[in-house]
Amino acid sequence: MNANRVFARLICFLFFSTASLFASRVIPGNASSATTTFNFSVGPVVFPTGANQVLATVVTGAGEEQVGNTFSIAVYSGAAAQFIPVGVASATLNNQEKQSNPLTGQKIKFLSSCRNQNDKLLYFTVIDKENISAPVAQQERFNYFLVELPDRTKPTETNVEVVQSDIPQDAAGAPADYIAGMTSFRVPGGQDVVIGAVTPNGSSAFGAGNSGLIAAYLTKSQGGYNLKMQNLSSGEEGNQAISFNGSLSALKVGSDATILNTVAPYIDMHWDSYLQRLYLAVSVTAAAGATDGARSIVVGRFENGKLKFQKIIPDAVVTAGSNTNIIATKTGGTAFVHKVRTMQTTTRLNYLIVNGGNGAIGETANLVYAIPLTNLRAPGDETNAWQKDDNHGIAANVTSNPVDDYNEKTRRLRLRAFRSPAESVSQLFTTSDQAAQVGAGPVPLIMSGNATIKDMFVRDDSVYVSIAADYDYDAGSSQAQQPGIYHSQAIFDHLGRIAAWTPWQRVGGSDDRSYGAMLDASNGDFWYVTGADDSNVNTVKKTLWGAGAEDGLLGGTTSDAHVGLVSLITRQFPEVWGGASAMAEFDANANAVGLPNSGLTGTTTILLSGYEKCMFVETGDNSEATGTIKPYTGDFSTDLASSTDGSFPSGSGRTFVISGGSLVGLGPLVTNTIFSNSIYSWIAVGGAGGAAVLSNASGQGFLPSALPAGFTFKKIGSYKFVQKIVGDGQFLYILTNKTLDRVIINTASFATGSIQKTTIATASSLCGNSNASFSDLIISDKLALLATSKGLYRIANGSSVKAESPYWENVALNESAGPLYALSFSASSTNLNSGLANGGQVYGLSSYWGFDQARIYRFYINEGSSISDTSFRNISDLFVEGTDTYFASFGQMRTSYTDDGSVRFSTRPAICGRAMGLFAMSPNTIVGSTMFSNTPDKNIDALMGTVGSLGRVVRLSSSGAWLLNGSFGLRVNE
Amino acid sequence: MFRYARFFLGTLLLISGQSLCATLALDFIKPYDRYLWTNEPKSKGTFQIDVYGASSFHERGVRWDHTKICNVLQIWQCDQNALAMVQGFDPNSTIGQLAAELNGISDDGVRGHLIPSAHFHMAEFGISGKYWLPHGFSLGLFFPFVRMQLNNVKWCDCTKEQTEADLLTKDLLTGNLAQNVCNLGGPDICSGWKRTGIGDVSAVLRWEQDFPQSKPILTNVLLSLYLGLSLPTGKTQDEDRLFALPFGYDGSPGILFGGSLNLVWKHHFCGGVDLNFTQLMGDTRLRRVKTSYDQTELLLLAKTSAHIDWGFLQRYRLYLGANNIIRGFSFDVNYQFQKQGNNILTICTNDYISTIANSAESLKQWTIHQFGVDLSYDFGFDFAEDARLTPSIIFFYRKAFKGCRAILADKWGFSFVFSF
Repeated sequence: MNANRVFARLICFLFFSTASLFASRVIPGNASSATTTFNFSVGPVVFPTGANQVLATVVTGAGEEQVGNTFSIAVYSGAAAQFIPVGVASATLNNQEKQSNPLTGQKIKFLSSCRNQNDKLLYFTVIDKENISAPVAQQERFNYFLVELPDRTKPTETNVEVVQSDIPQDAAGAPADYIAGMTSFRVPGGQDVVIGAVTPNGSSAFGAGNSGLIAAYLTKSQGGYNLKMQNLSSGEEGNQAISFNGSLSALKVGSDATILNTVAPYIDMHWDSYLQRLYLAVSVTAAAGATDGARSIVVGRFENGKLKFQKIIPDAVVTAGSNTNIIATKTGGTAFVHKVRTMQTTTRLNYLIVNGGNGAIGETANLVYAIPLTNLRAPGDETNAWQKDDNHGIAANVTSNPVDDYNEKTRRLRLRAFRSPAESVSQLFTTSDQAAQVGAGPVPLIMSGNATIKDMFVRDDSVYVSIAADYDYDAGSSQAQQPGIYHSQAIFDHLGRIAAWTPWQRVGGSDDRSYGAMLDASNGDFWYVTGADDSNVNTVKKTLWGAGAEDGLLGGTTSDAHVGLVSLITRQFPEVWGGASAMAEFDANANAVGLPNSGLTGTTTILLSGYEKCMFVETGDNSEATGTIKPYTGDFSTDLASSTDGSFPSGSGRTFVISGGSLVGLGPLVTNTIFSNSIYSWIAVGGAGGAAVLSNASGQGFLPSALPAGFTFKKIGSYKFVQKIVGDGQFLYILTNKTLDRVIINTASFATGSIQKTTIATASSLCGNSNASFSDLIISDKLALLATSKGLYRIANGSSVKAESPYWENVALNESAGPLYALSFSASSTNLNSGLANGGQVYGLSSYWGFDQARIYRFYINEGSSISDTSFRNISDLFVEGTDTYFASFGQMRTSYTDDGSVRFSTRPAICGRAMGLFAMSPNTIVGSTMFSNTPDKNIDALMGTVGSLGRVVRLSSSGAWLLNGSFGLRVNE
Repeated sequence: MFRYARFFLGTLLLISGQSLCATLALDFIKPYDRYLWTNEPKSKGTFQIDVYGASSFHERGVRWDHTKICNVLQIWQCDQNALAMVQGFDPNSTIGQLAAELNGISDDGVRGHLIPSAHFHMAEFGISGKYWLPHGFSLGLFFPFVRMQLNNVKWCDCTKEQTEADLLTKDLLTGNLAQNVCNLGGPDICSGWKRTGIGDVSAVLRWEQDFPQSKPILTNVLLSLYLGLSLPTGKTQDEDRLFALPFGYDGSPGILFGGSLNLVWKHHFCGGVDLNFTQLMGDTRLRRVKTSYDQTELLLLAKTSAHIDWGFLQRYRLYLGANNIIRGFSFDVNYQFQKQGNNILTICTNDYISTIANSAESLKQWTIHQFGVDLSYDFGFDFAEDARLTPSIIFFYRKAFKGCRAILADKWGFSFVFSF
């Protein structure tokens, strides 16, 4: 063994040693086991974020009493890389040092955090005196706490300060029995406040009698911090709640409504710091009269220390129509809203996101809706009249167009808003509107036993929900149930309004039950709380980019990384031969005209290809319950089947590797896909030396019921430099760098390789330059989009990609980098003809190597009955009035772009003197913001090396892990 | 006197050290150099005619770090980057469209890289005339002729054939590099060439004066100063041929100045220093320029009007020798150092970026260190004192042994000098 080999092995060892550190991991706490964080069950959890929505820390509260538990509240410390205890025995209590810590061993009811004017995180909590073995009324109060870790090598020795408020009093001025809800924020005027919803004296029911809302302001004097109670009715200091019950005019219509106490917490509160409105969500039943109604959302605003309530929609709208309002009901009806959040989209519009809707908990708890909100802010208006305007921050007229506001001199966009409030039923979304239905339907949660989603959060254009439930399927409602974190992304129309939502998709790389989660959108990492069941929520996990070695997921078993998918791919596709040059992911929604799917019933797959080799991997199945997908994890190597004659090998494992046969001579396979007709599905691969299709001797593809058996790859046509292969159920489209061919899906043709093709575009004629080239393609029913070296081309008005001779026209890309290099899309349905063709978002990456530049454009597809000027439009991304342009400029070249509404990954190979990299765009980038100069995207260390090539970041449909292929093989975020 | 000479030398070194410059990293015979003439001043009214010739051999290059001896085509980069060649152009242009097709192809250090090599040869010939004026002044006119040749041009493609990027690069660029470069407006990179023509004519006014010393060892001090003009008569660089170097200062006039100090010991042994400086005037014409930082000198497609500010040229020669030790036979051994600082390009159009153009390695400072031996015989010793024609013959040899970003060529040559 020579020195070079020894050195190489040493480097490999060091690499994998390091890689193992970058697997998904359990955050240490006080548990002795490495697989759990705490030795008790966690209750509330908050994920405070810092600037640019970067996750700052995680704070957990105990979900059970445990004598002496110092981790009753725990805060994650980045310095110590673990949770540190807040419930240490001795603390500074109400500015008195070395007192007994009131938090020690307690069960925590609520946690909340906000940032003060110095950007310092403030934490508030309520100790649970209600849901414990011996409830004690009139003992719950607000606690502010501060924790410091003097020495990171001693993570359990913390300095803690606790400040307690008085016992809050109800609307009648008597001590409230319990606190029913809590939130904290910084109010207009600059004070930090915690708002609590309190039950009346003598009752644990919220929303009846003297229930109310009360504030405690955090003040600092020479003696230290204090929590001073404030009467939100008078705006004066005083311990009396403002009344909040069914008689509230902002809540009821007609006779008093009833606030329901079905699932705790009975009230959810969310402060929108941009709109400066407090949104309060309750479940209500309207009085029974024909003119009676109830709103489940109440809007609050602060005026001189007082809390003023606003009606989210007018009374007349509540009682009109056929009771299809999302957040209101009438005549004895029930509206259940369990959680409320707000969203400011990247198109600068404001939306209210609610979990629940018009109906009982058993009908609506798995629904999430989006409702546009008015924004009457007026830049330059020093009176700030909008702050006191009842029409600000309420439901907007959904038929109105957003209004853009520009700087008078520079004409730069500074605000976009809905200005008109909804004044009639027709101006509101109903429960059946596509634009309102987050996730394009119910969350995968069966409505039984008052089941609810555990958590919901919003990041940029996406909504995330946490589900902690077993795999199940309810045949009666055709409702599947599966655990995990799920995500839906808004799709915007040509005015920047939400037009639709993508179907719920699992994210986070695991099917762990999720009791609370947050996304660090600066790198795509998820933090979540999980446990075996509701009584054992004891683990906090974080996903990470890397090789995932021994993470028990795609990185192998917990003891052997070698059998994992990542290691397997790295071995099968060595870097010296270009690594894994293509990867495609296929869900289980078998549909000939659907999104790329596996063609197999209840099975998800991925295809990888490299130099004259193709790998087919099963990644999940519906073995747990119909309509669900259980992701495969751990061992992908056992029983690996491979062939060297171009045939699909038989085997009982999860992985099938095909090489030889007709793949010889195709060179590096840079594209692959699975396409279907109404009966069969085929695998197709393409590369520098041509294209090949996997079929049986008759040219037939495989059936949804079984893997291919006796199938071989057969070369089709005589192609060179194939860029992409796309099927639409009727045709197969083969894009090379110079031509686009449409091929009839025909079994006989695939058997012989002699295909019936029509060349529907050539680069030289379309672009008018002999050196012009094609690089990417999207097909959606009649529309086709071609990424070319001369920009973007689409099917011309009145034409169709399926027509004998389609016509094309150029799509003007103002201020582009020149060529359009890559296309990607999000669809509102797994059916391409509806979800993409009429409700799809397209992302066009204008990227030019020659100038080292790249910009991303966003478009909305709404084909209609025929292709027209309105079929494909920019979503009003602009900087200056009148010029639709790109959404963001990267400042450097990029070769791929992936957008899930929150995380925007891009990649670049090693060019122009820079190392290759995976980047995430700054999360708070909105239309008109100069992302490149102000908040450049972040280079993510995914252990890929510095030289080589990268594919595109893809989300695995089974587990929701992010995957990235390249010359290094595979890297994952899970 | 020596104090002033040191001050003068120091000032010049300081100036040259601060300047940015460079023309051609190649040693040309400078016919106005004093060693090619007589070793002593002539009397008023004397004519001298000089015919000289020189030929290079053992030509090789040296890169920036002084130690990397290489082929002459590798003096700026060890290999040429064909991928970078198409960067920096309007995306709608023919080159830009090609670049767009290569979008995303990473540079792994070998993909699109080619190693060029060729054999370079240079021969020089010249004729000069000089006339002595009163008070030690003399006026000279110098007409050089140059012949250069580049042959045996080879390009070795380093691109592998393993990835799509490799295959696409070969298909679009390196598979038929010469034709592709030519089609894209680049130079003819595969053909050798021969070029012959006049070099830059120069006119020099020199003052020299003996200062006999009545000392036992130091017997004479010769001081010399000159001021001249170099005229841009030479062939300029041929932008459409590979490495077709200019025959002078590439079309730029220059001011020549300098001086020398020659000490004579015991009437026969001598030593001294020659200082030669050239300040070239800027020149605007079509030049090939870099359009991307990664581009390499031999594969530049962009040709645009650009003004160049030449760097300051300086040349120092130290020697020790003996005069007339056997009748008219003299010899010396010498060391010569040449240097030119960075040149600065200013692009005269809005098509390209001057900052990028100025990142060219060929615009950066170059140096050459040489060791030489000169042998001469003055037939005046064998002629009658009143002979009207006294010829001399000079043979010289130079060995270039070090430098940076330069062609190191060994050279031999001769000069016949006729004084009358």
